[in-house]
Amino acid sequence: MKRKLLINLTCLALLCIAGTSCNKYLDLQPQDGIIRQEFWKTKEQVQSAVIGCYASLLASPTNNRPLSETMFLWGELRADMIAPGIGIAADENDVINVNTLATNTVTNWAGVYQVINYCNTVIDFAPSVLANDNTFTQQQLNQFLAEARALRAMMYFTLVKSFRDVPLKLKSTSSDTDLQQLPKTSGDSVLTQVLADLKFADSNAVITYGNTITDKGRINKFTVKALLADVYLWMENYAECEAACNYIIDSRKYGLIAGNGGWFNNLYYIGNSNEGIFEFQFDQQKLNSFYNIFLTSRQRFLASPLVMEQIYTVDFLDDNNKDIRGEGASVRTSDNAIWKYVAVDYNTLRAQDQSYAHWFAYRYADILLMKAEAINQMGGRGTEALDLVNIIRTRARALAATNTNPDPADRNGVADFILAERAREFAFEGKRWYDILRNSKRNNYERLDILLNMVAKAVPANRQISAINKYKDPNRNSHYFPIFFYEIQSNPNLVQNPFYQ
Amino acid sequence: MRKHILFIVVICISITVSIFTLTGCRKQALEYTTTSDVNIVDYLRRYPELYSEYVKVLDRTNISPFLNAYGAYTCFAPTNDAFKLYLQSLGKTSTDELDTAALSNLCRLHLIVDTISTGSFTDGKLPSPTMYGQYLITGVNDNGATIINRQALMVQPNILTGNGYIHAIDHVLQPATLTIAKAIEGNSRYTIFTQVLKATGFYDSLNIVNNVDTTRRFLTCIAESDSILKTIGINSYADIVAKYNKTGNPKNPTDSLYLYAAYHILPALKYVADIVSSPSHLTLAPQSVITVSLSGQTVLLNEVTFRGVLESGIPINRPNSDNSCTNGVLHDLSGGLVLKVRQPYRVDFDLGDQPEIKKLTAIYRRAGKSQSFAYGQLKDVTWQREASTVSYYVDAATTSNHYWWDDGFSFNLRTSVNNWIEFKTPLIVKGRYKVWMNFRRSNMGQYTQVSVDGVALPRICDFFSNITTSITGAALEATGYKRYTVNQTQNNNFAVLAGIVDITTTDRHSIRLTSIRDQGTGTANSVTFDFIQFIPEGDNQLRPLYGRDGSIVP
Repeated sequence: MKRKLLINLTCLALLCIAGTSCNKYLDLQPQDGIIRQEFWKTKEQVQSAVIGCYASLLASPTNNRPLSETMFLWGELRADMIAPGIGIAADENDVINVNTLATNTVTNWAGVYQVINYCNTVIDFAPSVLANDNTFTQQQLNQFLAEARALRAMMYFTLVKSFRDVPLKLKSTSSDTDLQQLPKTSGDSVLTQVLADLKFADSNAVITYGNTITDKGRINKFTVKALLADVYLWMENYAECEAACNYIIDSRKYGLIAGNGGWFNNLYYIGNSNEGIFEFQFDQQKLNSFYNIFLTSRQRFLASPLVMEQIYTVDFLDDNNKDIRGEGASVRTSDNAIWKYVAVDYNTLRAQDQSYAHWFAYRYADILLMKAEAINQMGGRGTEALDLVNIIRTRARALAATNTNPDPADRNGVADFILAERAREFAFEGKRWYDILRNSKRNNYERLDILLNMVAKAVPANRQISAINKYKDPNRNSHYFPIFFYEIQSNPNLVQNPFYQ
Repeated sequence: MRKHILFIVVICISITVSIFTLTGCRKQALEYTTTSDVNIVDYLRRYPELYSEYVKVLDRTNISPFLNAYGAYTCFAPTNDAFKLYLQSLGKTSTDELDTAALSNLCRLHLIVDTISTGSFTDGKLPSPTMYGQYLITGVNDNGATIINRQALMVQPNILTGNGYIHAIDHVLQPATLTIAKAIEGNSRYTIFTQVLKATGFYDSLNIVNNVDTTRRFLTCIAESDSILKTIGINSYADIVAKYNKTGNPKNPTDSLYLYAAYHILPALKYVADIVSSPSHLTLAPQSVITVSLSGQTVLLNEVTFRGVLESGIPINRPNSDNSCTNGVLHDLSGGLVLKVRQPYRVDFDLGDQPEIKKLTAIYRRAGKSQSFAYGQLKDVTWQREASTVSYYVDAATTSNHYWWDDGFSFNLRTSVNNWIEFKTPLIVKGRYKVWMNFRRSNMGQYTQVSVDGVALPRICDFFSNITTSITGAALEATGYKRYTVNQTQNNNFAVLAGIVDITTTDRHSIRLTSIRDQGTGTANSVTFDFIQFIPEGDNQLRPLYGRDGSIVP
């Protein structure tokens, strides 16, 4: 009897334990998050995922360098418009001195591939939502896919411009089995994929989202056209570039902000102006990283003295006669601080908690100047190209000293003039190095002199000859970054760029 | 049953014992070193297919022991192929046939007691000399490859080991063997220049290899080829003697031919990359400098604006320059470099006339405007307390002050606030000058010592006290004061004499104002300056006079 009782009690205890514990102990799902199998169910979730891709442009959740900062470093360090400040990192100084090694952290592309992976995730899993959400249409899906694919194209285009040959990963890395060690794909093949993505986006992206902020902050059809124009210009396909520019110009949805007292405020301080096509939407909740870079007593970068002396020039006789883009807009001339991202106006600084100046991927002025560059290269249309440049110059009240008055029939003269105007218009907007490289490499490096003259001015005098000679041979990839050593170590299939081997 | 248990016990014991004996006696692999990084020689030994010859030489010359010990070294490592080429050039088959002492010198040329990665490479010499004593120069050739000492290409850069860097190179580096004098004499382009050097005695100075421990070890010679001399009308040695040798004795230090030769020699080791890094360089000609500027990729010597006239510079012929010699370096010019005789002339140094301020067209000389500058923003002005700022200001036309151009420059000058401030002057020709401080009287700076290039001037300047209003002109000058403005009754803007200075070189100099006794209150109060005058001792010190609109009345 006693024994039976003991057995019963034991069974009861076991049952209690077993009955209660099975709920939680064996449940492998995280309790504070949502897993993929639970996620891709509704169209709202697809939208959140797409917005997440844009959010990754502002800052990296894994503490990679913010993308806008990477784009600034890649687009400006090797060019001639910035000078080292007191707080500059040794790695950044090495890039300025044309001494980039594979160990240089500036060449770390992790932040860019992170955005690509977010886009890939949307592209891989968004289509499965069609089966679960009956209110989700194929057209809506395509619009979301257009955004993800255009954003991915933009990232790969940035990589090709910076590294030329890069691994092309088109599937998301969402489980351990997706980890791949990809070899490099040639830059041309990557650009083919970029074009394929952009063409899909071109046919499927929306014209407008119905409000200004979204139109400037998310990719619409005009953003795709701007990207197409840029890629075609890089690929020297001028007719297509012009067509893409014309689409934007003829839509009459964009214009230049008048060069009056409100110009800086509208375009740079507030942002999302009528001129903006695609801007990284920093705001009070998500500040950019520029305040510390340009402003503190240990600022990392200053404007090069050449910016005011040679690029904008100064009228010593009439202080009212000045390029609105120079003093007080791009540069604070009293200390050569880079002013564009940290200023409220000519005299006033942003407070640190207002450091949300947008990063400009494309704006209308870029479209006009890309078109000018393209039609000038097509030949016989120099006058038309100069007219476009003069629209920009008139708006900015550019000084006569910077007008080289090239003969419209002189293709190289006009190209140089457009390049110089781009330097003035897009100072510190991360475009300068790519502009120089694009103009130099055109027609099999027909104009290598542009690059060599630039670097002669940009590096310290005692490294000038070395820097020039390093850039002299375009076949060895010295105009492109090395692949960061960590990537080479962790992926045996990657081969270092020849110049850095 | 019992048998079974016994059996099991025996098995258990034997298993336990065997586990203990098998594992217990095995030596545990403990790491006794803090790192597994190898040092330079051990690294080289790991790759005998590349470096066996070099290791053999290092062992034979007894360099391996210290090169494998801890320290900071940079080692240029010639590969086996490099040694093969080297031996071929000597007609030998093995390094064993070479003299140990010579090999030791050769190895020391490949070693630097410093860690230098390619990031520190410039167009000129490396920051530290080799153990052999000569400097190595670096560069990049037309194909973008790094080139060492114009002799070897880099095969693999920046191999980091425990005690420094290894850079693998494809040729053995060889030390320079000629002195500068021999190098010039041996080059048929320099026949006239060689004769000049021999006649003036500089040939011998350029032919001495000084010992390591002497301070003046290296010289730099900037030579002019016969064809360049021809362009300035000198076709033979006789022509240059006729042109310069006025005393008849070219060894006479006051003779122009002697000075001509001396002016082409710099008393230091300066490759072109070093020459462009500094605005001026002393020469062996007494108190004479060569100034340097960079125009595009051309290095120009002596391009100066003198009394408002731009004198175009003489380019250095870069491809023919940077020739290393045992006692220095030899450069080549693309034009005639002449030592100009310049008479001292007055310099009115407007303190507000700084390049950074001039660029601010909305402020520079605009009535009523001002701008303050933090430390580091003006490249030619430095001061003791970095937190202190200086300011440039322009008076409104209505004020009673009388600044030249209406603009002034103000700064703190108190021992407890900002002890000193230093300015870089415009070009001043060598000579004796009276130094006048032209200022607006204020509450500060009663005890200020002025020094030029570190030499204190005799008078302590007082920027605080009133001028004696009753005396004027020469009588006032005799007391060490003068009224410099057009308005000769102005008693707030006037000048005080700091003393007479001997400017020894025609160059830009530094002038420093030091507060030697605390006076005045507050940090906001400051000394207000107009400009500083350097007037040759014999010239009229009182005229011309200066107007608010910038006019100068003789």
